[in-house]
Amino acid sequence: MEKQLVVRLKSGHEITFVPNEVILNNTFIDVPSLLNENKFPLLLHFTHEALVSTLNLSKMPDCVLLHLKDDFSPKSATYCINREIGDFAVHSQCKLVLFIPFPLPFELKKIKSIQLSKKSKS
Amino acid sequence: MSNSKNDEIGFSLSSQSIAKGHGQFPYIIVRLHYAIYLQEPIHFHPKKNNELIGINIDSNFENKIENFPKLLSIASEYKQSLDTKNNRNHRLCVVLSPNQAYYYEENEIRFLPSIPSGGTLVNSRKEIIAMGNSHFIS
Repeated sequence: MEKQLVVRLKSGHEITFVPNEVILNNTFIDVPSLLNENKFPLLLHFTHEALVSTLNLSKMPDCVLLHLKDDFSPKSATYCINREIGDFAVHSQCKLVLFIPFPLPFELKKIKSIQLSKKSKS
Repeated sequence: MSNSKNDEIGFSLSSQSIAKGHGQFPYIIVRLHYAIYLQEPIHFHPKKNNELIGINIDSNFENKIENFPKLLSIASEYKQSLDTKNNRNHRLCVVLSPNQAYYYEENEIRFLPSIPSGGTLVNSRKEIIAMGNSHFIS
Protein backbone atom coordinates (compact mmCIF):
# COMPACT_ATOMS: atom_id res chain seq x y z
CA MET A 1 0.00 0.00 0.00
CA GLU A 2 1.23 3.46 -0.86
CA LYS A 3 0.75 6.19 1.73
CA GLN A 4 -0.54 9.40 0.18
CA LEU A 5 -1.24 12.77 1.70
CA VAL A 6 -4.05 14.62 -0.01
CA VAL A 7 -3.99 18.40 0.43
CA ARG A 8 -7.42 19.88 -0.24
CA LEU A 9 -7.54 23.57 -1.08
CA LYS A 10 -10.45 25.94 -0.58
CA SER A 11 -10.58 26.29 -4.37
CA GLY A 12 -11.54 22.60 -4.63
CA HIS A 13 -8.17 21.44 -5.94
CA GLU A 14 -6.72 18.28 -4.45
CA ILE A 15 -2.97 17.79 -4.49
CA THR A 16 -1.50 14.39 -3.78
CA PHE A 17 1.92 13.97 -2.22
CA VAL A 18 3.45 10.51 -1.93
CA PRO A 19 5.91 11.05 0.89
CA ASN A 20 9.08 9.20 1.70
CA GLU A 21 8.35 8.41 5.33
CA VAL A 22 11.13 8.14 7.89
CA ILE A 23 10.22 6.86 11.36
CA LEU A 24 12.47 8.29 14.07
CA ASN A 25 12.86 7.83 17.78
CA ASN A 26 15.45 10.60 18.22
CA THR A 27 14.60 14.10 19.37
CA PHE A 28 17.43 15.74 17.39
CA ILE A 29 17.40 15.17 13.66
CA ASP A 30 19.86 16.31 11.03
CA VAL A 31 17.38 16.65 8.17
CA PRO A 32 19.87 17.36 5.32
CA SER A 33 21.53 13.99 5.89
CA LEU A 34 18.13 12.28 5.66
CA LEU A 35 17.61 13.98 2.31
CA ASN A 36 20.65 12.18 0.93
CA GLU A 37 18.63 8.97 0.94
CA ASN A 38 15.08 10.29 0.77
CA LYS A 39 13.77 12.74 -1.78
CA PHE A 40 11.06 15.32 -1.30
CA PRO A 41 8.32 15.08 -0.23
CA LEU A 42 9.74 13.86 3.05
CA LEU A 43 7.57 12.86 6.01
CA LEU A 44 9.23 12.64 9.41
CA HIS A 45 7.30 10.51 11.88
CA PHE A 46 8.49 10.83 15.47
CA THR A 47 7.80 8.01 17.90
CA HIS A 48 9.57 9.41 20.98
CA GLU A 49 7.68 10.64 24.03
CA ALA A 50 9.40 14.05 24.31
CA LEU A 51 7.38 17.23 23.87
CA VAL A 52 9.48 18.68 21.07
CA SER A 53 11.83 17.55 18.31
CA THR A 54 14.75 19.66 17.15
CA LEU A 55 15.25 19.74 13.39
CA ASN A 56 18.59 20.89 12.06
CA LEU A 57 17.87 22.60 8.73
CA SER A 58 21.32 24.03 7.96
CA LYS A 59 22.20 23.83 4.26
CA MET A 60 18.79 22.40 3.40
CA PRO A 61 17.33 23.02 -0.03
CA ASP A 62 14.53 25.59 0.16
CA CYS A 63 11.36 23.94 1.41
CA VAL A 64 8.19 24.31 3.44
CA LEU A 65 7.59 22.31 6.61
CA LEU A 66 4.01 21.40 7.39
CA HIS A 67 3.65 20.42 11.04
CA LEU A 68 0.78 17.92 11.19
CA LYS A 69 -1.38 16.66 14.02
CA ASP A 70 -1.73 12.92 14.62
CA ASP A 71 -4.71 12.79 12.22
CA PHE A 72 -2.56 14.58 9.58
CA SER A 73 -4.54 17.82 9.81
CA PRO A 74 -2.26 20.88 9.57
CA LYS A 75 -1.20 22.68 12.74
CA SER A 76 1.45 25.13 11.55
CA ALA A 77 4.08 25.72 8.89
CA THR A 78 7.69 26.85 8.58
CA TYR A 79 9.43 28.32 5.55
CA CYS A 80 12.98 27.03 5.32
CA ILE A 81 14.79 29.36 2.93
CA ASN A 82 18.55 29.34 3.30
CA ARG A 83 19.97 32.55 1.91
CA GLU A 84 22.87 32.99 4.35
CA ILE A 85 25.63 30.74 5.59
CA GLY A 86 24.97 29.66 9.15
CA ASP A 87 23.23 27.12 11.31
CA PHE A 88 19.49 27.00 11.36
CA ALA A 89 17.20 24.75 13.41
CA VAL A 90 13.56 24.68 14.44
CA HIS A 91 11.60 22.94 17.16
CA SER A 92 8.43 21.08 16.32
CA GLN A 93 5.77 19.92 18.74
CA CYS A 94 4.19 17.67 16.15
CA LYS A 95 4.93 14.00 15.66
CA LEU A 96 4.48 14.36 11.91
CA VAL A 97 6.34 16.90 9.77
CA LEU A 98 5.97 17.00 6.00
CA PHE A 99 8.70 18.66 3.91
CA ILE A 100 7.68 19.99 0.48
CA PRO A 101 10.05 21.86 -1.84
CA PHE A 102 9.70 25.65 -2.01
CA PRO A 103 8.19 27.49 -3.83
CA LEU A 104 4.66 26.15 -3.68
CA PRO A 105 2.14 26.71 -6.49
CA PHE A 106 -0.59 27.56 -3.97
CA GLU A 107 -1.01 29.66 -0.83
CA LEU A 108 -0.67 27.93 2.52
CA LYS A 109 -3.67 29.85 3.87
CA LYS A 110 -5.80 28.26 1.13
CA ILE A 111 -5.31 24.75 2.60
CA LYS A 112 -8.66 23.41 3.75
CA SER A 113 -7.53 20.01 4.99
CA ILE A 114 -4.84 17.35 4.74
CA GLN A 115 -5.85 13.72 4.87
CA LEU A 116 -4.12 10.38 4.70
CA SER A 117 -5.08 8.07 1.90
CA LYS A 118 -3.73 4.61 1.12
CA LYS A 119 -3.75 3.23 -2.39
CA SER A 120 -2.40 0.09 -3.98
CA LYS A 121 0.83 0.71 -5.87
CA SER A 122 0.17 0.70 -9.62
CA MET B 1 19.31 18.34 -37.25
CA SER B 2 21.93 18.11 -34.54
CA ASN B 3 23.61 21.00 -32.79
CA SER B 4 24.24 19.18 -29.51
CA LYS B 5 27.60 18.12 -28.14
CA ASN B 6 29.24 15.13 -29.77
CA ASP B 7 27.00 13.29 -32.20
CA GLU B 8 23.89 13.11 -30.07
CA ILE B 9 20.61 13.16 -31.94
CA GLY B 10 18.45 16.20 -31.34
CA PHE B 11 18.94 19.86 -30.53
CA SER B 12 18.47 22.21 -27.61
CA LEU B 13 16.38 25.37 -27.29
CA SER B 14 17.62 28.11 -29.61
CA SER B 15 18.45 31.63 -28.44
CA GLN B 16 15.38 32.85 -30.37
CA SER B 17 13.09 30.51 -28.43
CA ILE B 18 14.73 31.49 -25.15
CA ALA B 19 14.27 35.18 -25.98
CA LYS B 20 10.55 34.47 -26.39
CA GLY B 21 10.41 33.00 -22.89
CA HIS B 22 10.92 29.29 -23.48
CA GLY B 23 13.11 27.24 -21.17
CA GLN B 24 12.58 29.39 -18.09
CA PHE B 25 10.62 28.37 -15.00
CA PRO B 26 7.72 28.30 -14.47
CA TYR B 27 6.09 26.71 -17.49
CA ILE B 28 3.34 24.29 -18.43
CA ILE B 29 4.03 21.10 -20.37
CA VAL B 30 1.14 19.52 -22.29
CA ARG B 31 1.55 15.95 -23.53
CA LEU B 32 0.25 16.10 -27.11
CA HIS B 33 1.24 12.59 -28.11
CA TYR B 34 3.76 9.96 -27.09
CA ALA B 35 7.05 11.88 -26.57
CA ILE B 36 5.63 15.07 -28.08
CA TYR B 37 5.22 17.94 -25.65
CA LEU B 38 3.96 21.50 -25.89
CA GLN B 39 5.69 24.08 -23.70
CA GLU B 40 3.68 27.08 -22.57
CA PRO B 41 5.84 29.55 -20.61
CA ILE B 42 4.21 31.59 -17.85
CA HIS B 43 5.24 35.23 -17.63
CA PHE B 44 4.53 37.65 -14.79
CA HIS B 45 5.01 41.33 -15.56
CA PRO B 46 3.42 44.72 -14.94
CA LYS B 47 3.08 45.52 -18.64
CA LYS B 48 2.22 43.25 -21.53
CA ASN B 49 5.25 42.21 -23.55
CA ASN B 50 4.23 41.16 -27.05
CA GLU B 51 7.60 39.55 -27.73
CA LEU B 52 6.99 36.81 -25.18
CA ILE B 53 5.12 33.65 -26.14
CA GLY B 54 2.93 31.94 -23.57
CA ILE B 55 0.62 32.84 -20.71
CA ASN B 56 0.96 36.45 -19.64
CA ILE B 57 -0.14 37.39 -16.13
CA ASP B 58 -0.30 40.95 -14.84
CA SER B 59 1.75 41.32 -11.69
CA ASN B 60 3.57 44.06 -9.85
CA PHE B 61 5.68 41.72 -7.74
CA GLU B 62 9.34 42.31 -8.48
CA ASN B 63 10.33 38.96 -7.00
CA LYS B 64 9.16 36.25 -9.40
CA ILE B 65 8.72 33.68 -6.63
CA GLU B 66 6.01 35.79 -5.01
CA ASN B 67 3.84 34.96 -8.02
CA PHE B 68 4.24 31.20 -7.69
CA PRO B 69 1.23 30.69 -5.37
CA LYS B 70 -0.94 31.62 -8.37
CA LEU B 71 0.44 28.82 -10.53
CA LEU B 72 -2.05 26.09 -9.67
CA SER B 73 -5.00 28.34 -10.51
CA ILE B 74 -3.31 29.50 -13.72
CA ALA B 75 -2.60 25.92 -14.83
CA SER B 76 -6.14 24.81 -13.94
CA GLU B 77 -7.71 27.62 -15.98
CA TYR B 78 -5.39 26.85 -18.88
CA LYS B 79 -6.28 23.15 -18.77
CA GLN B 80 -9.99 23.88 -18.61
CA SER B 81 -9.81 26.17 -21.63
CA LEU B 82 -7.69 23.65 -23.58
CA ASP B 83 -10.01 20.74 -22.70
CA THR B 84 -13.05 22.78 -23.77
CA LYS B 85 -11.40 23.98 -26.97
CA ASN B 86 -10.33 20.50 -28.09
CA ASN B 87 -13.20 18.63 -26.42
CA ARG B 88 -10.90 16.15 -24.68
CA ASN B 89 -8.95 15.70 -21.49
CA HIS B 90 -5.32 16.85 -21.71
CA ARG B 91 -2.45 15.51 -19.63
CA LEU B 92 -0.31 18.36 -18.46
CA CYS B 93 1.86 19.56 -15.63
CA VAL B 94 3.09 22.84 -14.26
CA VAL B 95 6.87 22.81 -13.79
CA LEU B 96 8.42 25.00 -11.08
CA SER B 97 12.06 23.87 -11.05
CA PRO B 98 14.30 21.03 -12.30
CA ASN B 99 12.92 18.77 -9.56
CA GLN B 100 9.42 20.05 -8.95
CA ALA B 101 6.32 19.48 -11.05
CA TYR B 102 2.59 19.17 -10.37
CA TYR B 103 0.86 16.74 -12.74
CA TYR B 104 -2.82 16.95 -13.58
CA GLU B 105 -4.16 13.42 -13.55
CA GLU B 106 -7.71 12.11 -13.82
CA ASN B 107 -9.12 13.36 -10.53
CA GLU B 108 -6.15 14.87 -8.80
CA ILE B 109 -3.02 16.94 -9.03
CA ARG B 110 0.08 14.97 -8.10
CA PHE B 111 3.45 16.33 -7.02
CA LEU B 112 6.50 14.57 -8.40
CA PRO B 113 10.17 15.45 -7.92
CA SER B 114 10.86 14.65 -11.59
CA ILE B 115 9.89 16.73 -14.60
CA PRO B 116 9.24 15.92 -18.27
CA SER B 117 12.37 15.85 -20.39
CA GLY B 118 13.47 14.90 -23.89
CA GLY B 119 11.13 13.97 -26.69
CA THR B 120 10.00 16.58 -29.18
CA LEU B 121 9.20 19.97 -27.69
CA VAL B 122 6.92 22.34 -29.60
CA ASN B 123 5.64 25.86 -28.94
CA SER B 124 2.01 26.97 -29.05
CA ARG B 125 2.33 27.43 -32.83
CA LYS B 126 3.29 23.74 -33.04
CA GLU B 127 6.78 24.66 -34.22
CA ILE B 128 9.51 22.28 -33.02
CA ILE B 129 11.77 24.15 -30.59
CA ALA B 130 13.85 21.31 -29.10
CA MET B 131 14.36 17.60 -29.54
CA GLY B 132 15.93 15.00 -27.27
CA ASN B 133 17.05 17.64 -24.77
CA SER B 134 15.99 19.13 -21.48
CA HIS B 135 13.08 21.57 -21.59
CA PHE B 136 14.81 24.28 -19.58
CA ILE B 137 17.98 26.33 -19.69
CA SER B 138 20.41 25.94 -16.82
